[in-house]
Amino acid sequence: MVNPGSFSGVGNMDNGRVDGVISFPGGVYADLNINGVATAEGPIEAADLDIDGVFNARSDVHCQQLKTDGVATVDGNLRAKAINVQGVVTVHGQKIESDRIICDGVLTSDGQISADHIDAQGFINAKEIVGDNISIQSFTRSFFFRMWVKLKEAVGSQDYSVVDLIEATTINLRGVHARTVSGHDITIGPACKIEKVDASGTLSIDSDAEVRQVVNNNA
Amino acid sequence: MSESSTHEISKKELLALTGISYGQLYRWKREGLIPEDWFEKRSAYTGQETFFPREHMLERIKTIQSMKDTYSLSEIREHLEGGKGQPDLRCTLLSIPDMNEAFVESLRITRKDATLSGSSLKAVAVLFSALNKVDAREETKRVLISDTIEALSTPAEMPRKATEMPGVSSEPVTTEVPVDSSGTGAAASAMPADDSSSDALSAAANPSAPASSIDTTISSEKG
Repeated sequence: MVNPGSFSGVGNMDNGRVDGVISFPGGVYADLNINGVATAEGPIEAADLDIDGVFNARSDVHCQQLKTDGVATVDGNLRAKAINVQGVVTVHGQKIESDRIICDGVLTSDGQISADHIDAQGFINAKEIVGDNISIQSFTRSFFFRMWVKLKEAVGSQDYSVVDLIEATTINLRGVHARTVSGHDITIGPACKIEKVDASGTLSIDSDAEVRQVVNNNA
Repeated sequence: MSESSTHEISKKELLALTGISYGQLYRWKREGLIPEDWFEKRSAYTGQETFFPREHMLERIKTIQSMKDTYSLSEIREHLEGGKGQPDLRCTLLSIPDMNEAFVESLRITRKDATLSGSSLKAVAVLFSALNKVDAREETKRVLISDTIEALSTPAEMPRKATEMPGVSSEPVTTEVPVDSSGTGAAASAMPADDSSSDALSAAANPSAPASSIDTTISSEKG
């Protein structure tokens, strides 16, 4: 366990709760609750990592549960049994690995996201998303949401998920722009733009989706 | 179609051949059961494709599949890491078609840390299949398979020829083969009475001289 006294900045770091503006070395923690603005200088290992404020990890993060209502940036890799993104999480390392990812906010990876289950109502951007059951629903037919999306478009903000490669056993997409989508059972929903779809099982493409090429091995 | 050579296999071909899913493949990779450096991405005419070392990958998948219903993924990883990347003997034997746990448990294997090379495993598999085809007695199968494994297995990672293995010197092979003293009668008496095994099995049936006969079998199975 890291000595709570070994941090710098203005704030408190008691019993794993971080308030204020603090920089601390990496280490092994039971639970970490980030409320202020915190920077971890080295690799972090924790049971539960709860981020309500702003958290910058200069290296790898390894925890059982990661929950973010705030903003988290990880310069290394992220590995967690469960990840819940309500705010914004950005990982610059090569991989995000998890059993289960829930994303109602924005999750961005410079590399690969590998998870058994991904359930996203928000946005996910990554080079690759691989796993077992992947559902990314970044688009809804709700009038108010579509107006909000148009407003965000006007200011150059995000209104769809962008992924280079999605590969999983079961894939269900809405509002996703991807180069290649490969899997067993694939559903391409509205507002998707996909270069190539390769389904070895079942394939369903919404009339509002754009798919350039279909490679169907099940023919 | 994939551009796999004989030494590698594409991801698509692997999934089709083994019947595993994307989810399983990536879960096993995350859990460290499949080394990350076995995933090699290259450009193919179909686009970016991932290739694996064929023999290693197929063997690894078979091992994982044979263990996954009995052991947790972390236990499987420990087995794989404990054997310096080679699965333990019990798991290796379970990958042989028609092999079952009860039979593996009944085998008399003195070296618990022993491993079998790919070619040795094939030899054991061929022997097991042959014994099943001639409907050999269970006790006969146990003795023959146990002795063959003892002769072929090695505690080191690199497989060695049976005759070069410690504890299996050439002396017992020449002195224990009863040919000099009583000719074929003794050799025949080494065979179980109710086995109607053909001559092809007679050399393997002699527990005194498994090394040279199985060695021949290996060399005939190779290539």
